[in-house]
Amino acid sequence: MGKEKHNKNPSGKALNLLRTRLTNPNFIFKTFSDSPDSNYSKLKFIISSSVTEACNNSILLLGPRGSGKVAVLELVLSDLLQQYPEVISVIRLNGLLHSDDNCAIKEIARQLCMEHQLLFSKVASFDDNSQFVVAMLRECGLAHKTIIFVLDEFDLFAQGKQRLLYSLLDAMQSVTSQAVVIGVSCRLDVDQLLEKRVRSRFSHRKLLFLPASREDTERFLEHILSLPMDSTLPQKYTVEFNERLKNILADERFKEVINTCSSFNSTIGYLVKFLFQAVSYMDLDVGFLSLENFKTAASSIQRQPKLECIRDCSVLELYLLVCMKRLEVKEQTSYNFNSIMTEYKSIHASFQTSDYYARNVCLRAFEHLILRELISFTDNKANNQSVEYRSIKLLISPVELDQALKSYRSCPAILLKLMDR
Amino acid sequence: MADNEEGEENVPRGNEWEVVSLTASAYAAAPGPKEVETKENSTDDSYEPEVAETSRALFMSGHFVFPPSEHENLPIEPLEPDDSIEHVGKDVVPESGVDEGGRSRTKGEEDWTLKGLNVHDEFPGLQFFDKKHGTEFEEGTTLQGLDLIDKDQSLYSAAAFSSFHSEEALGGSTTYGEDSIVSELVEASEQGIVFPADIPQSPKTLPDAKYDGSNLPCEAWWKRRAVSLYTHAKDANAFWSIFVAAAVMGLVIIGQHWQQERWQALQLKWQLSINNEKTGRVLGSISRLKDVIVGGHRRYSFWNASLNAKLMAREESSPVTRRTTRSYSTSNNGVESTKPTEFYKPTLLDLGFRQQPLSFEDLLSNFPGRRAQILELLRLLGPLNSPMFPILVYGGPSTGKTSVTLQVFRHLNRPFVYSSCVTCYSPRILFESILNQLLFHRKNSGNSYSSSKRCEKPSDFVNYLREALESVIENLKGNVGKSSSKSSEQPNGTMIYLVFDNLERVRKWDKSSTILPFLFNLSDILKMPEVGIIFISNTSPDTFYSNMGYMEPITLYFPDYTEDDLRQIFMANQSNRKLYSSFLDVVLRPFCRVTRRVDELSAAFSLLFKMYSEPLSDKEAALNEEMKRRLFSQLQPRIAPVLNETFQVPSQPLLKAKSIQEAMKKCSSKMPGIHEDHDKMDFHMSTSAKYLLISAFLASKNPATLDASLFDSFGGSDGRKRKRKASEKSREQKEMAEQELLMKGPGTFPLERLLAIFQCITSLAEDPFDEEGSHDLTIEGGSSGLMSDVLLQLSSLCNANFIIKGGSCPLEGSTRYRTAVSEELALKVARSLKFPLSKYLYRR
Repeated sequence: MGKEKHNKNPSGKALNLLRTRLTNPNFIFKTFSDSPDSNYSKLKFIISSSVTEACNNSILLLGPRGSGKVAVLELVLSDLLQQYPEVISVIRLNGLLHSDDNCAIKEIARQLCMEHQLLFSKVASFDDNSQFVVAMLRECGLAHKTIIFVLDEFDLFAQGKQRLLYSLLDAMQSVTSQAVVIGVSCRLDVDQLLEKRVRSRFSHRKLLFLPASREDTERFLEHILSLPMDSTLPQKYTVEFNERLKNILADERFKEVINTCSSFNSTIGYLVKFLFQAVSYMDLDVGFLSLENFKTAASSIQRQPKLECIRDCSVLELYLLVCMKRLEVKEQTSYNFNSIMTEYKSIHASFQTSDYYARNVCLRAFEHLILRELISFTDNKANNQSVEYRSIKLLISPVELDQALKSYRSCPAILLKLMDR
Repeated sequence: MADNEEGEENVPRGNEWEVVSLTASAYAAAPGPKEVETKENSTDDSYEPEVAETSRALFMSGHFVFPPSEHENLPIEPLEPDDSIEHVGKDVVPESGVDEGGRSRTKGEEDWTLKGLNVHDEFPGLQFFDKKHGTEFEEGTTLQGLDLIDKDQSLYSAAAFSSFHSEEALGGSTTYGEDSIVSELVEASEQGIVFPADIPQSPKTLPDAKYDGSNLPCEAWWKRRAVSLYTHAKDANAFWSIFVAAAVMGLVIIGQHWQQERWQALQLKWQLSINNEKTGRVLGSISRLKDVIVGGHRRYSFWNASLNAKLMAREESSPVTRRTTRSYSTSNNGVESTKPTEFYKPTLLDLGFRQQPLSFEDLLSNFPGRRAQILELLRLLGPLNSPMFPILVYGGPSTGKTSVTLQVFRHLNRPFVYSSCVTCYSPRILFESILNQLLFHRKNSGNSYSSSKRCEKPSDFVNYLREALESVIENLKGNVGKSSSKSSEQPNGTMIYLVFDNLERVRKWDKSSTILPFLFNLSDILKMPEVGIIFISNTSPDTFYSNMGYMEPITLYFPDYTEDDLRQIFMANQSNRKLYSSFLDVVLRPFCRVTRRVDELSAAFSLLFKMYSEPLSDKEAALNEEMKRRLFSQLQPRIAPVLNETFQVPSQPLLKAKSIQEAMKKCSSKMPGIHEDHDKMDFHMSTSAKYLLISAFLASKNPATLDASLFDSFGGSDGRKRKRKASEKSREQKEMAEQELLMKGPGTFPLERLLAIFQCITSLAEDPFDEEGSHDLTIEGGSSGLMSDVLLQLSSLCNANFIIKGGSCPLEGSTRYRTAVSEELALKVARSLKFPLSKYLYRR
């Protein structure tokens, strides 16, 4: 039923198209690839020159998460694979998966085998595999084939003995081999992590991925959000959609929303995530993006989990939090549930609050707070102590607590008063 | 019978005699439980005159019951002697509890054999006697399998037992004294010369015994066989378990005839007679088991135990229900159980919910208060076949995260793979469970419950996962192309969703620092637009931050239910809506100030509602204002106690024994606000354990320096000095000390101090001991006899978490203990003993 409806309704199709675009990094970074001084062109030049000149090379791509390092690299690689189809083979490793040398060399061997239609043995030892890799490097060099190693999360490869990096780079020192090692990392100091023997073999070519300029962003927004004229979507709908989008993009309020977003996190990835949420909020019955969509997306992307968490607390839990805050203000170095209870009792004694509960109930509320991770034990080792005696600390600042109390629905007035003194 | 003997004799064991002992025990276990019962009674009667106290208590042990079912081919006659043997044997080795006793003995094996051998060396001539006796026995009975050697075996072990436990044997068998021969035996047993005394006696009794219907008093040589039963226990570990099961059944039947006090006395005895730590641990479980028996539903607990194995097996074989969440498990059961039990081959259909898709209206009405979240989740998932970014669904416990997510998939009827990090508690299990689902692999006996792929490392997992996903997506695409008029069962679309529940658990895993970023980056690593990833977590996204960094998923927050939501939730499925809504008017507000968790509230409310509607005779009657007011006034004072009862934290030892039901009983049976039955303990504990608990409490609370003044012969608190003036400095000190006490909790103490205090208070409190009954005294004898068992009691208290065994003191090197008992509980225990605890408690 839903499918038929969405066949008739162009908005569903448009939404699908936009979502596909936003989740496809290749499409997103195509827009940034045309200018001559873009990272795309630089990277393409370096790799293609080392392919054509049959030399060894190594490059680091550095930039924050979501700045499109891998996406740009993938774009370049797919271009080069089309350009020189027979000469290039790409080996992709990820530091999250292959930071262990054994595992990494195995994966390299596996991918090399796949690439060259060889039989891969799962039981081969580290030694076998590394010998195989070195032999393959030499063979490929002799056949004038370039092997490109892509090491994602490069910093994770720099942990431990760095045997993989050393053996790769060392093999590249020989004249016969022909390989490019591309490290991708979000740590700018990653070359400092390398051992001396590895660093000396590494060519210190770095490409920095910087946030896009404002003009670029605007261009990007239009490129990514406007519907193509040559699709199967009805012409009339597309025109109207694009017209409305232009209005929104020109709107000052929209620019403000985008500004606040980029002040949080200026990477393209964050922006794309924001746009994805905004597009998801698009009302399918109306079928067009509205400014409201962007505003709700902005509010939902900038969450303050701790504040939300405090707002969810029950009144008794708030009492305990306030008691803890008061203990901290009193500069008590460490405190536990028992000291909180004495504070709680003293509050009750002096103010005669209506919310006075037995110790058991408070202990339960206390455990809820631990579950919510608003408070935590100061030490990890339980040391055979029961919960009441283990010392505890607040994970929120007094300012946060104050703010949350003020926004809490029906917060007891006494708590606000207690916060102040 | 003969077969049994053969088989058991073949068991290779160290000493010959140990092996042989098996035979005796093998047929000792002959008849069905019915006979046991009747004959028990008859023997009991016959004993009564002479063995009044002791044998009674022994009976209780149930040791004589031994009705093992697998020896049914045996004649029933031999039962009788066995039983009576066991009576006697019982007092020699009273700790041989019903089942665990057997195991405990296996642990103490070394001791037994040692002792046994000693005896053997000392009295080599005994064997001869015994053989003679054995032959006689064989002639007189229908039992053919009895070995001669068998007899001497039991003989030795009997000696071993008696010498081993000479103290107890002495104490226990004083009542036996009337029988002159037996008294001889007892005396002899102290020095290890049991046999000359008792062997001449046994042949005499044999002929008239005749084994059936005999009212004979127990005879010494029977004892031997009983003892051989014990020794058998340590040999036949595997076998023993069967015996144990049978014994347990018998015990249940007979146990009903006996009163609670008997158990109490018995427990003391059990524990008295075991000396080493290992056995003590086993004993701890016995005593707990016994508590269950005393608690009332004996039969149940035992039947359950014996049935457990079967049930487990059955559960294994039935297909595991995949898509059940807490709230939906009941409704799902019917559907899931229709699957065939034999090797079910999952198909692509299994990736869907396999149920009638939920309409949108139903979805919304099923989850009151979750409308916004459902809508947002639907939006983020998007229309059919649209790719998505990873989503993190988070919110407190019992806010409906998992249910909503899964039901949304039911509504959309899209394929998904659900795995919870609670059940998949390690990376490997998590990976394999996902792969199994994707590869349509189900663990069963055919593949010996193995997974489809073995993968531990994320790198392998990604490779396998990519393969599996590609084939599944291929499949899905093929389906779409093939059948445009597809059935409703077929999952929709070509997207496949991976749902990871309870993600917060991953943080506690060993390799959390690599697994967490891996999971968060999974969609980037896979680079497959057809795969959607959904994380569900109890904790907010900021608790996952690490210095690794990751592309944050889109977050979707499930806030706690508001009061209005809660009202809607509780009003759902109520038969008497009017009554319930007036009830909610009363209770919802005060409870919401404490907690807004549905699970906790529903537990509390179900209890309260019963109380609320209690005064109403006709539940359907219309509620008028006056009625409401009356009900309200009746309920109002009860709210606070229920609040306290239901929100007790179960980690406290005190609460283990308590159930909500009891709380209800309490609240409904008496006037609110008065807690007169606080004197009563909710659980059972032996007297010496109680004293031990009190002494541990005292040792924890009182400073060690005050022990002398508190417990010296002048006694009481008179020794305390109260001359100190409340100067500024001392007050300050006092405050500091108070602070310290709050922070530190109960103090630790070495074992020696605990024992010293224990001895002091038991010697001081002699009077309550007299009240307990004379048999207690006779068993315990002097306080010197107590010492060995206190260690045992201590270890069982440790196991019950009343006393915590801490690390060793760096200076002294001995283990230190501390109590986990609250003051209320200690006072309660003291009151049950009529022990003036507050007199000994040092107050700062």
